[in-house]
Amino acid sequence: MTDGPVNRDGLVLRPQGGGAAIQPTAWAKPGRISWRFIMPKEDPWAIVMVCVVGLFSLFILSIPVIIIILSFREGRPIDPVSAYSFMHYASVFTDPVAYRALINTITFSLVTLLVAFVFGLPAAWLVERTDLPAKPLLYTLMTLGILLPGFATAMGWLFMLHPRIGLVNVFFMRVVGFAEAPFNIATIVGMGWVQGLSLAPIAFIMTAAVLRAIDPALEESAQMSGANFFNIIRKVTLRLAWPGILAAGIYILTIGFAAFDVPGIIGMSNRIFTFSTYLLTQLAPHDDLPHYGKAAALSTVVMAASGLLALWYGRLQSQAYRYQVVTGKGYRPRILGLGRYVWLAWLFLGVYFLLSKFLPLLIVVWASALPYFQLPSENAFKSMSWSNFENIPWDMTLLGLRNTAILMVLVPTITLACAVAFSWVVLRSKVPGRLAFDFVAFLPHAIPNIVFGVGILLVALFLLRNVIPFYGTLWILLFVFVIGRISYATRMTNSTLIQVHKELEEAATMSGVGTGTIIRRVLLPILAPTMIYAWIWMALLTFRELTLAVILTTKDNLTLPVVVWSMWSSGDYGAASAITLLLICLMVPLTAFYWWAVRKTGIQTT
Amino acid sequence: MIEVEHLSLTYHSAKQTHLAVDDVSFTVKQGQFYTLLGPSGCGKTTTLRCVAGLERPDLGEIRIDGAPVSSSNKDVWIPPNRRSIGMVFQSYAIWPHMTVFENVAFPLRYGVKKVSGRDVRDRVQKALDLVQLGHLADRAAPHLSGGQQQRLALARAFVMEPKVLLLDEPLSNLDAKLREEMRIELRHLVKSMGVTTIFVTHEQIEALTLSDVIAVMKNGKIVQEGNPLDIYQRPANAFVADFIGKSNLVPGTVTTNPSANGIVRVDCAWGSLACSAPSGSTSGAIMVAIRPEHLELTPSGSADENVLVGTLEAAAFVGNMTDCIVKVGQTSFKVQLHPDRTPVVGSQVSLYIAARHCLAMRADA
Repeated sequence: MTDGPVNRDGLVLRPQGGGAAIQPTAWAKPGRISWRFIMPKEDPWAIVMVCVVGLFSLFILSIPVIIIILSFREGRPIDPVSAYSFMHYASVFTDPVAYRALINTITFSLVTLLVAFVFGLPAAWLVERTDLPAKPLLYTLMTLGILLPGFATAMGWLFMLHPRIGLVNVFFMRVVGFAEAPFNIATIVGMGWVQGLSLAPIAFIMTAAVLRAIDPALEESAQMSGANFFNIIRKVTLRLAWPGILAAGIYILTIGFAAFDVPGIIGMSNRIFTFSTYLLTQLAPHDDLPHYGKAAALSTVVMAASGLLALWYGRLQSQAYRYQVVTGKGYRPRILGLGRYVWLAWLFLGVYFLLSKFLPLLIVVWASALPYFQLPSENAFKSMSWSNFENIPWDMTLLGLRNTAILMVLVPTITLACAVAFSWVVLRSKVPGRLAFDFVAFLPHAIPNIVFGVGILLVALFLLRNVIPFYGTLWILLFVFVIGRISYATRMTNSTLIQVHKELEEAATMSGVGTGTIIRRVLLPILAPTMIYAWIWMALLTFRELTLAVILTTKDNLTLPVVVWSMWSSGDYGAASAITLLLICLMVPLTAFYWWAVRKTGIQTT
Repeated sequence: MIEVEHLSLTYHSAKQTHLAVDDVSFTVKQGQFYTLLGPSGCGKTTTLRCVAGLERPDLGEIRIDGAPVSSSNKDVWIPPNRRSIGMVFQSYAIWPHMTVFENVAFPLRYGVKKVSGRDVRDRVQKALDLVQLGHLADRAAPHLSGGQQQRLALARAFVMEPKVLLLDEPLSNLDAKLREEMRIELRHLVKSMGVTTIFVTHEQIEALTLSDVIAVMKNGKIVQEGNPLDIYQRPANAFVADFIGKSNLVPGTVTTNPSANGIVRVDCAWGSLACSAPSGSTSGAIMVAIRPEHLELTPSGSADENVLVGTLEAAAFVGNMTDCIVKVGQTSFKVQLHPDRTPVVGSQVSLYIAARHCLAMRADA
């Protein structure tokens, strides 16, 4: 059947009698098994999307594979293939510093989880199940709390509780007369405390969603059976919410595993390492060549650990049928009157915001105004000036700002474009094995982002060095940021696309349009509110992202948070504080826009 | 106009395969209103979606206006957006981000046969006027009532002036009263356009009132095809007799050859019945279908009239009639009687029925 013109899909058009508008398409080879499996609409847009998703998935998958291969390969990655062995693993587990770092990471993650739950769970319960006033405000504050860069609050806490210069410690030693500093934030527990405070909003948001989905009739029937308040909470509410709470816990543990901001700011200068900071010392040691093999081995260990957590999470999800009473339906929840105890609730929430946001920021402002860090005193007030701001290294900062601005626009845009393609292929096309793509898109959520950072570094340095020289460019950051956000973005587009009735698209098909027009004219306008929301959220996260950038950054592709980081690492605390404040001020207008978009679109969850 | 030949489609899921459409063939003539009727899961919607091109059949050929649009033998496949078919969906699929006008203009603006600006306006207005929505052109589509959304979906399907219209349970989302109104209007609209229509429904009333031809489907197969009167009066098998209207189904055995006027004797549990066999030659074990409204309290005096003597077990007044259960031997019969003439529950009744209303048919579908 080659007796007709070939159209752009490589298919043969065969002239046919009958309706003029109808032009049959036939395959070059009749009787192919693909007859049923090929996409329903063989137009270029569908093929482009499948290709994008396929390539992207291949790349995501290749990263852990390369890390694992390099972790077994002896010698340096640029050496010719020598032998494969457990050498690098041996060096991880015999090196006391590395081993210590792994143990530290576990302790740090657990403390983080504990602190996040101690603040996040009661806050969620207060918002969902009591008559606490001003709930929308609380939601907004909690959501915005996630956006405050971790390195900013870490700086604040170090200024407060550093054993030598920390304000509180100095106060106790000089004014109260303690012989030595009563607090030390530069410990694993101290860092876990700071990290936990900054992750409490995530615990809050995830568990609030679970509490909202529990049928209040289940609690009411417990009450009718004679159970008292605490028994209801313990035996009914918490039990029903358990899978959701566990899921939040696993998620927070995964974040804690790879957290960089807090251990970087507080721990590194005091030579207390967790996984992420130790990884950085291996990739960029001060006095040695980079230990890529060891970094790969360390990454593999952490991948395995987070993989186990993800498996556990998956098992929880698959057993969710046991908790089918927790539906997605919006119930009118059972509201507990706080009565005269409302002040206790406010006190609790007030203390949280004071500790997690207000105090640390205030101290950073204080530090930025002083030539050197000191207790508030007459002298200190006299020495306040703008000099830290005037001494900001502007060429570096402006380069960082430019790069950050470019990333902030491109990362959410490209991520969302890919996410729409992923969702469409997974939920709408008939491509065989499409569910595997959903799994791939979930990988960057399950594996710590920093591991992907290491993987892309290795890929850029050794695999693509001569093909696409993008190490040290902005594009490598763009790439890793997009991978880092793809899980979030696909979850957003998936959940929205599921709610769009498939017949809306089929009606467009029957109107005579192709996939491209359907996406442009039907799907995107319907998805728009979610997309705007997700876009701004990702833009804000990109703006303050330090972890991924710090691994891949060189002097040419600095971002603003990396400028802060390099000021801080070189001991210039005043300038670091000043740039941090600048960064936060720049986030304000975008955050205001975000808040406006949330109110306009009515989307609440993150 | 529409010819479907040996259509088959199997759904594959992880655990099982399901033969949704099993060797279905039918022909819809120009301008005909053709209905696929059956219970949910019988393959009627899948068949319709194959004609639309939204599903891809494994086997078989579909021709529209003589030209194949889908053929497994000739390996022809025309994607749905190039088939120029109007379709109304069960959910109406009104695009919520557009106005009423924009919804209808969509096929003209972006479809295969693009239309210039002013023509778009004229044709959209014409289509909207046809369904009496002309005055709501600028309204946001979600602000329409259910019935209006239904009309809008029709206008959007009509605006391309398609030769073929597919209706996928378009009335099922309306409330009962509106459904009745739209039924009449739908038939009127479709007939005045002269468009060849395939209609999918599980409501027998819709099928009976709207259709020129009804195809009753079960388990992916067409079990009977005919005009509404045929289907109702001469069901080919027990399934159709039970699915279209109500029927008392009684197993029996044919004991005689058909007489000159086509009457056979059938032995049932409690005695013998004179039956007609509308679906042709019948012998051996069969089912007798008797409609509740055909059982009378008074003899009509027609030849070969049967008498059933039993006890009135229960009677429920439902307005224009009384739904009764009469027990004849061990068999319970559903009977519809006039309220004024319903005997006391527990009394003995004689029910009369003409042989032409006792239908002997194959037991299997």
